[in-house]
Amino acid sequence: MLGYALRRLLIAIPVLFGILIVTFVMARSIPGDPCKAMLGEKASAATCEAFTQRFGFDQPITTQLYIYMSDVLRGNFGDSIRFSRPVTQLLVERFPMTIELALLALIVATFAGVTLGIIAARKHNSAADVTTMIGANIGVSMPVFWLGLMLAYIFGVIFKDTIFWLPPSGRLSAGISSVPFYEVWGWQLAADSGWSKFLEFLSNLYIFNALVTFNWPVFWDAVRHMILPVLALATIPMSVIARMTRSSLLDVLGRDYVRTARAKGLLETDVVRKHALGNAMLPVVTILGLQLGALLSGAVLTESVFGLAGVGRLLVEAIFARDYPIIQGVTVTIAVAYVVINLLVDLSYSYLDPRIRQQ
Amino acid sequence: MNAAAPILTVKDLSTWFDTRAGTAKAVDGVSFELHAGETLCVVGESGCGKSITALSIMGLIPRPGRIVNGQILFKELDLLALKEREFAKVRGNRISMIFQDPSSALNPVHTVGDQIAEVFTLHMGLSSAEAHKSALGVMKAVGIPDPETRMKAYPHEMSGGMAQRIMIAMALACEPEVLIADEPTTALDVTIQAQILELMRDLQDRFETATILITHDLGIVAEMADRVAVMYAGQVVEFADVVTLFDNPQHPYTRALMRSIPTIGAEQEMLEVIEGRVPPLTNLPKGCRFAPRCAERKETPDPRCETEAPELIDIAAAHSCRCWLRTGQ
Amino acid sequence: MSALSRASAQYSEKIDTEGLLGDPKPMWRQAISRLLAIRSGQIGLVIILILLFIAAFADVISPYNPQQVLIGVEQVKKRDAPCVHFLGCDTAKPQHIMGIDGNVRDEYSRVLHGTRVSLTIGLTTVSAALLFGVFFGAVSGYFGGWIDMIIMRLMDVILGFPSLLLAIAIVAVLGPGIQNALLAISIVTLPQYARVTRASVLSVKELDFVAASKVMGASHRHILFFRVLPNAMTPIVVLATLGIATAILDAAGLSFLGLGAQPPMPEWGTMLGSERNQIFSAPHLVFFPGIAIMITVLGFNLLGDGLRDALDPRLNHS
Repeated sequence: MLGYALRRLLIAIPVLFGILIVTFVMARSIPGDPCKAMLGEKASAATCEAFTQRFGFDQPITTQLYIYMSDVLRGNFGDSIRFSRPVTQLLVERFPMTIELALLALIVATFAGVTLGIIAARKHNSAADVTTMIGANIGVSMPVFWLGLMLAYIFGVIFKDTIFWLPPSGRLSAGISSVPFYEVWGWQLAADSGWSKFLEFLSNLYIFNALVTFNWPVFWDAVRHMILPVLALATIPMSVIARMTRSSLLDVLGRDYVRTARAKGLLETDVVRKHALGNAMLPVVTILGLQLGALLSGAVLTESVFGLAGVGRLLVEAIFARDYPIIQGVTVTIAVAYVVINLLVDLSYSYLDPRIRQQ
Repeated sequence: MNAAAPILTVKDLSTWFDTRAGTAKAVDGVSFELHAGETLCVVGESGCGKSITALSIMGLIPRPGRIVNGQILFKELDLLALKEREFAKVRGNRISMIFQDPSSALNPVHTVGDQIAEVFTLHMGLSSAEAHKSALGVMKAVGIPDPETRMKAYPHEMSGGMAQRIMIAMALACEPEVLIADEPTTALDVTIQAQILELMRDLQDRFETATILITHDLGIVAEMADRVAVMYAGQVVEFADVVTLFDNPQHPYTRALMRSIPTIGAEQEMLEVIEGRVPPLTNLPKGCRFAPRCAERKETPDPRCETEAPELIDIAAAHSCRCWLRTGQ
Repeated sequence: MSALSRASAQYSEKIDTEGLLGDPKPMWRQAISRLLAIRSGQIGLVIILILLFIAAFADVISPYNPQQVLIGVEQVKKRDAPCVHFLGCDTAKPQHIMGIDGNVRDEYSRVLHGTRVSLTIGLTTVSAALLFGVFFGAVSGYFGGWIDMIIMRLMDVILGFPSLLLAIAIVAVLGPGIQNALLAISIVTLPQYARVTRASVLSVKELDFVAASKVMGASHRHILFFRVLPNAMTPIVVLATLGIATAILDAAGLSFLGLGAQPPMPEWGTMLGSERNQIFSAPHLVFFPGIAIMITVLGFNLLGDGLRDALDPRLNHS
């Protein structure tokens, strides 16, 4: 296990460095004067001079790369042109929204997908199986943004004035605001420390924040606002997971050791629960990491549809505003998060499969 | 002869598979009795219905198979009439089974100790700790060295022979009255085969388990069997005790099988091969199922061979045969 | 002709006649007949044939020119709801089965022409990704060593990004527009083809007939492109078919965000994106382009699944 983990880590480290190099190269490929690009067209000659000094634009490319890397490793992505604030601060404010969305969608997709897959496999070739698989095929073919808009229309307009109405945009209703847990608990935060940034980050996970402060009205409101985006975002990964679970479970149910389990006198439910599922889930776990990539990508579109202020929308708006520091910061952060999560998924996979664990 | 009531009675069992190519009669009218303490060997080529017969007794026929006819009595218990929940109490407890390939028959994500212990918690209601203690006991009984450490091992860490011992331990955990062994040594090395057979014989003596041993290896039959059923294309074609069968085989198929084994020390020109193939189970010949391959039919032709299916008829005490050439008047 | 070269020529003929690589037609014919026996393959093929037909004859089928603004031509208003005579719409009004868009154009004609755009997008991005991906993968797998190391680590880095996010970032640098969007999607999907090709090449390259070619003194290029690659094609064909589906979906996503195709091009993602704020008043302008995307993507997904089952006999378990 330790050997495997180390080897896996050794693969991840060059990828992380590669990501930094790629983003560095991309930033340097922006046409025009780098100072004007990074600081905006209105930057004065003096500020540009300081900028060139600071990032080593008059130095060889390797020095520039070194400066870039050490900045990124310290979490410093520079200041946004449009907001004139540190990109890191914007990430602390906007990233939790995206995480909340992607994480909830992942949970929904996993539970619903696995359940549907199990039902389809247990009732192989039944009406339930056929329906699930047709649904899954359509599910993987739907554009997230279209599904989001249609859900917003159905629940926001058609169900207007019924109990099924759901808010089609935003994170919280007007007049409801989330009070950070550290303020509720009367903690004094040291300005600008890493720890206070972290707490601020946590408090921007509204559902989590409302939960720990027992603020049920805010909790309920935040959850209601999340239902449609999560449904839209979860559909594709749910379909993928359902298909994977079904085919994997069908495969496992035909294996010799499942026959052995039946021969022991276990009831079919226990055969599936104790002997088939564990094995059938192994390939499903491996695709969870990939699905998270799809979720992060999809989150960009979903946030855009539902008017949610996450990093996805921040990124898209930054592209139109040519706000390159934000583009760079968001890209690096999401890519690093993605690599780290995939690493964790692989490690948990190796933990679940004794054949790898004991290598 | 065994005067006591049989422990397992299979009457007229037919298990068919509905496939796209038609209905495959994998098992077609098989009957036999099994008495306490004896070993019944079922021999035949692959695809002759040996394994499906065994799985029918266990109630584990894979889809799309179904039992269309017959009765399976375990003592007084009509197994086919049992509800799934009641059947499960018999399975692995009073009737258990071991399979061909031990390395794939054990669950790769559970330790072997857990897999054996599961039988004890399931059928004897033991707590986890007690079950593991009992598991340790049976592992010792099947001759696994250093069972304390081996308990915590996963199947992939074991050799084939060791894994088959685990399977045997699992099958014998509840001291079943009937053990069905489906080609238990086929996947193993020759030296390991002998050890596993030896172990099975020891355990059978100790627990007085009645055994159905399925094999295609006549050497194993000679070694292990009390009585033998020879199967061909879903039917029993000859039934006899082991000595009679080897000394005086009657059915042309049995005879052909006998001629196809090498005999040590005997002067033999050449080993014989049975010409042709087992007919497809979806499209069986109208008359005797062995007729197309039967060599003896060429010498003494009988018109019924091709038109009428022969019955399994007693030709001597405790010796029956399904052949027009032997039973036809 | 020397005796040796005669012998080797004979040898190579013998290899070819054994059907290992020579004439691939019988194998393909087999695969196609298998594909036609698989439900998902049938449906996928029918959908794609219909789409190809629409794309080819869009000008003929469309009742209007997709760019024609109908102000002053007909009595229609901006974002009019669909009017289908058959379904009871007043026959005095002009028929617009998918309604009128925000620039007073016939939505149906635009959706039909969008087929051409989307199929072109799907095919060009996948072709480009295939070309470079297969080349890199083949070179990587065939030569191994440090070439392999460098190429595959680079591919790992590209796969280290969530694909659409990297595409967005590339477009951010290159600037919004359909060409840049297609280039971005090709780049982010390229590693899949490289990886699969490399794996296939690795498994094929040790086979006897490749060794035989080497013994006969064939050049690297010859062995790689005429001996190894044709035998590694199966998984690549499947992946490419599924890849068209993903490419269309991703391109529509970029266009939806305004980073891909620009108006007035009748691209489904763009059409949908430019009317998204009217979802509550004119849902038809979102609904129909979305359905069109979904059907197209579904067609390629089903065909891909069917091809996988047809080309890989090992997977024929269901």
